[in-house]
Amino acid sequence: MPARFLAVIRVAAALVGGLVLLSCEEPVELNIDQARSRLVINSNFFPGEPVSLRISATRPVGSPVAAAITDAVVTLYEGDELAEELDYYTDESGRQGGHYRTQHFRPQVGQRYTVHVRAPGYDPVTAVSSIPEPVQLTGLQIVTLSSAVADDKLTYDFTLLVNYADPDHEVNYYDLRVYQRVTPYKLSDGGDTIRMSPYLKTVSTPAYEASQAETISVLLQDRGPNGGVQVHLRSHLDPRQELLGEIVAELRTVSPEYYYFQRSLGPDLSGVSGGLQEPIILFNNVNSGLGIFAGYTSVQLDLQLVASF
Amino acid sequence: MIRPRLLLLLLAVVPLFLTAQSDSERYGLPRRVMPLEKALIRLNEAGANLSYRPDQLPNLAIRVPGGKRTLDRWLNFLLRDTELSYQRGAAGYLVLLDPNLHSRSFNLYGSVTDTRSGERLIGATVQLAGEAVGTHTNEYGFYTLPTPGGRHRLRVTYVGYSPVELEFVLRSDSLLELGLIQNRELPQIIVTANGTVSETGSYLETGTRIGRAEVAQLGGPGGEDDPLQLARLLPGVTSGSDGVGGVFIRGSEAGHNLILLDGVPVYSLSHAGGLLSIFSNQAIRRIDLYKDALPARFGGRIGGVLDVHTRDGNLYQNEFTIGTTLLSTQVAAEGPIQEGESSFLLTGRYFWAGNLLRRFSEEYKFRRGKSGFTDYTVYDLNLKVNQRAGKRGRVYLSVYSGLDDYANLSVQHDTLEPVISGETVFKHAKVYSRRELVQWGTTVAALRYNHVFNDRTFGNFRLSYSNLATESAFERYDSLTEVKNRDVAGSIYSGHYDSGIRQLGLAFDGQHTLGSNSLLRFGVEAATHRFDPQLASGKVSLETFATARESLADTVHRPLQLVAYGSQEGRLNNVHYRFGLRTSVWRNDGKSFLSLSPRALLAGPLSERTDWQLSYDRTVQQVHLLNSFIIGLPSDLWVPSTRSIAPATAQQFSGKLKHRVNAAWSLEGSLYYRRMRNLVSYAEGAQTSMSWLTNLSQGRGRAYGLETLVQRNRGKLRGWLSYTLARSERRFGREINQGNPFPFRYDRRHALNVLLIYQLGEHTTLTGSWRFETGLAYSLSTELVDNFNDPNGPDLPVTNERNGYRLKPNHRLDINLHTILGSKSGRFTHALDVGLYNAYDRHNPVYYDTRREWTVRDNRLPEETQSYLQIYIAPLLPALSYQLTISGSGR
Repeated sequence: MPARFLAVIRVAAALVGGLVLLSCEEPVELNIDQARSRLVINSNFFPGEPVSLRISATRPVGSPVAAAITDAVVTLYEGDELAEELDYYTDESGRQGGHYRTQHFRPQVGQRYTVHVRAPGYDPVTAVSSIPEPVQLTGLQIVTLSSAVADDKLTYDFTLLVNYADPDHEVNYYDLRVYQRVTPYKLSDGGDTIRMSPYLKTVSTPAYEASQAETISVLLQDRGPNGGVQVHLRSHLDPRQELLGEIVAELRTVSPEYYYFQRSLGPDLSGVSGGLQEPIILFNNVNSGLGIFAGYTSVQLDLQLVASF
Repeated sequence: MIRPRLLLLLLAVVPLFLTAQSDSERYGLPRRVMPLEKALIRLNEAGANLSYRPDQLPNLAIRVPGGKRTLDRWLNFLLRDTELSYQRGAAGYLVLLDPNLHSRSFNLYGSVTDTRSGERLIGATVQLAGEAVGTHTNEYGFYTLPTPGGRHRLRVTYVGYSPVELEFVLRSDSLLELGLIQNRELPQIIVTANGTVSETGSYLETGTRIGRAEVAQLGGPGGEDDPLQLARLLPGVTSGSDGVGGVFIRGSEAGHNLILLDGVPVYSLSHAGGLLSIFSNQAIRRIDLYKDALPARFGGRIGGVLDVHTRDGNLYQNEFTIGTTLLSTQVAAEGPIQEGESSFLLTGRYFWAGNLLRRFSEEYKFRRGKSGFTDYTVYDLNLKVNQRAGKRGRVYLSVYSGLDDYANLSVQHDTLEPVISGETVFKHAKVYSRRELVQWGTTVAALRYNHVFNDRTFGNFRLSYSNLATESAFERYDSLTEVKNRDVAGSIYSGHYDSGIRQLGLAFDGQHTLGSNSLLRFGVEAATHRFDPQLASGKVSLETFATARESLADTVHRPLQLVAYGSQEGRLNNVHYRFGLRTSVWRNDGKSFLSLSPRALLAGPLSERTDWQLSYDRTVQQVHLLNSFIIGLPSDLWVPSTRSIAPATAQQFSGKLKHRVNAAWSLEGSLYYRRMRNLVSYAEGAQTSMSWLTNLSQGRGRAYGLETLVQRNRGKLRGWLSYTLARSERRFGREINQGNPFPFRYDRRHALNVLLIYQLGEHTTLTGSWRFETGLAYSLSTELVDNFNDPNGPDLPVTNERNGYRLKPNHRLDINLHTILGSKSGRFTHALDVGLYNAYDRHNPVYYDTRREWTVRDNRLPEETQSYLQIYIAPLLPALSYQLTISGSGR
């Protein structure tokens, strides 16, 4: 009897385990009213450079990639004056189609810019922004530095202190970006070192390993708590192929739109489970649409991390 | 020389003299039981000169021991249980009513215990029958009842026990140990708020009691009894689907609840992500759940309180219980170490279903073209030892330890149909990989010493230890590779979360009776903490974080907390009151936070059948639970208040009316409004990277609602129907939902709970419970946009509003048949449960996931699409449980 009872328990338990395992997910139809597709603007503009916009549209989850919007009418105003109507340019690479760009007009610091976009089948949208006065970097300093070699990779762990001339009595927004300048090289058959063109490579932090497509960026409002900003970073190199050059700090003085949008954009979570994590609610300064139209300026300063090779 | 001789002479003569004198005044009574009046007559017949009024003599039979005694001694003996006194005058002895007895107040004190096991009963009612005087035993079974002198009838009641009434005459402060006998036949009340209309002195007992017997009747998934299953049927208490996410009380979050295990804070209360709680019903004596009117001794959290008391172990006889459910095997042993003086209790659960899971999961995944397995190990242990320490004290040592260890590996390779473009053939390989490793363990220990200082003062000293260690890691990898050219598209994302919180505390909790209507409760606490939260994530493989711990060692915080509290309760005419104040100092990171938490409770009868209650609570929370994921997983980090993170605070105003229709039926309605400040949460997107300290947002919240309850607690069919209408909102800085208000995830607008227990036989019940709740508020993305930062990157989902979408309503029916069979000798007791969990197989969503798919259409290159998946925990599950208890000989 006990043996039979245990057998019953065992079969029932297997049933429970199996049911739990088999039935934890199933396709679901949401039966929700799909919102009307909206125009999406993606534009950050810089003084002296053409104003460029990528224009796309929102589309329902589950739908295939939408065709590029090539027939939009995009007009840019400086103050209340028409600055230029932007032309469409097809991009050779990239899957987002082309972009709209000014041919002659170049934006300036301190002006207010308004963009209007209309395209067949969509509600027209508009967005406003400006370019703030640039703020200068006043100093770069390495506070701590250590290095380690693991798996043929050389890692520099360092703390960078960045100072900048944040004006008092006004609110300013910044985007501090840090890169490492790297020179690829190879050894010729004769034993000579052949250096190739240097390029800017991404750095990481101890807690976040950034991919090459990403940039370590610190968004700041006004001056840092101690007069500057300390950033703990890591530089990874392959010493068999790469030579470390300078650490480059780029301080972007940005419009509030830029700041809030980038902050809301956060890390790229596209690879993370969509259901288990709280999503990011995007900042939006496009009326009737979605996206960002924001100006910024930029200054750079570099610093040798270790003695030159 | 003369003086010593004189002294010796005196020593020899005086006793003789005294003996001769006392002999002349000693009177004899026979050894038998006789009425009081007859004993007095006999004394008069023996020569005593006694005067009394026969009509004042109580009708009392006294067992007279016989022999000769002085008249004073006889009268002290004969009149001790009466309200009579005596006076010695010139005309002899006069027996009369004690003129001062009724005007004097004495203290009855002691403890109330289970007669069979010696277990101390918490919340037992001790009251003078027919008089508006009563009290409850405290968490240690101790009571003090200020009582006027004279003859009284004392009534002692406790749910599930036969009431006891005894008559006595109180002439001095008296220690009265009271015992109750369990009534196994028909427990009258299932789960009840302690304050019932009929019990004087219960107005200030504001917790809701959940007993183990009721929990056993309800059953649970797979046959696992779980006290929290019952708690979630109470109005104002909810959770995620099937318990996922924890317990949410009146719109507060899981991390806002104070969970005490024998007085020690516990930082995680769930096994299996919430499907089961860590509280084994075999180890639990009862749980008191507080939603409002919190006593001042509770603090450190801004939500509700779950005060869990474990059993002491039988003081008189050995018991051994072994049982199994469809998920676990359970063992319990208890008994006296020294009979009546000390006992032990040891319980353990091992979830052996995890062993089967691995084998079934391998087969299951293989059938679906995947490789990998799912493995899950769960166990918990409870040990409790208690020892009497002198006449006035008792020492308790209790230890809990539990572990969850989960691993899930899954890899799938697939090849898409070849695509032909001109003469070129493109063949794509799809790789889908998931790796999840989660481990969390809780250890809680308490060493307590109870001491009865005197008839008015009781104290408890406690040395406590609580530790929660969690570690979790995940990696998701999706790729699509063009085989020939090795063009790879896809993504990898991994995260590693590591958290430790350890607390060591020393506390004293005392109570002092000030007078007939007034009780003082006071205490002090000191605790040191160690927090070690760490997290790292990125678009890299999991191995990247192998050295993360060392690099982030500077994240450790060691705050110190000092607490003092006091409250006074009493009665003014018909209004019962309790006013309390709790003060705490939290020092961390070079900064101190001083917090004051006033509490107020007013209650009383509105009419003979109706009671009212009003309360105000201010609470402060210095530790914060950061949810890495929306459903509350072990990857959540407990973090302390620091220089930059202020403690969270809450204020709650609450009112309640309770009406007793008759002895069986009662109605209850409550209104509450709760305001929360300095709530802490990850900024959006920040839960996956960088330091926790610099990526937080502080905000506020409010919750308010109406709770109603209709309860029938007598008869063959017992149970309740409750309906709750509630709202809970949050508003944070611009880092969350762009600063706009949004509903709390567990904002259950409507909740309807039904519990019915039908007594089929003397030892058999059939229980059904049904619950319906508004669906979870969920942040659903229904739109996609092009990647803003990377033109070639994957599309970004767009969510317009946090928690702006409602998942399907949550409802479920559970049925359980519970029966107890005992052998004639009483040595063997069999408990059998058979039931259905989620009887109509409702798939209650925990959350919605999206799955990326690549499909080939019209011979074109693969296109990526996404589809929605509903994730749920428990379908229809059978429940089966059997327990055999073997009792040794004893009382």
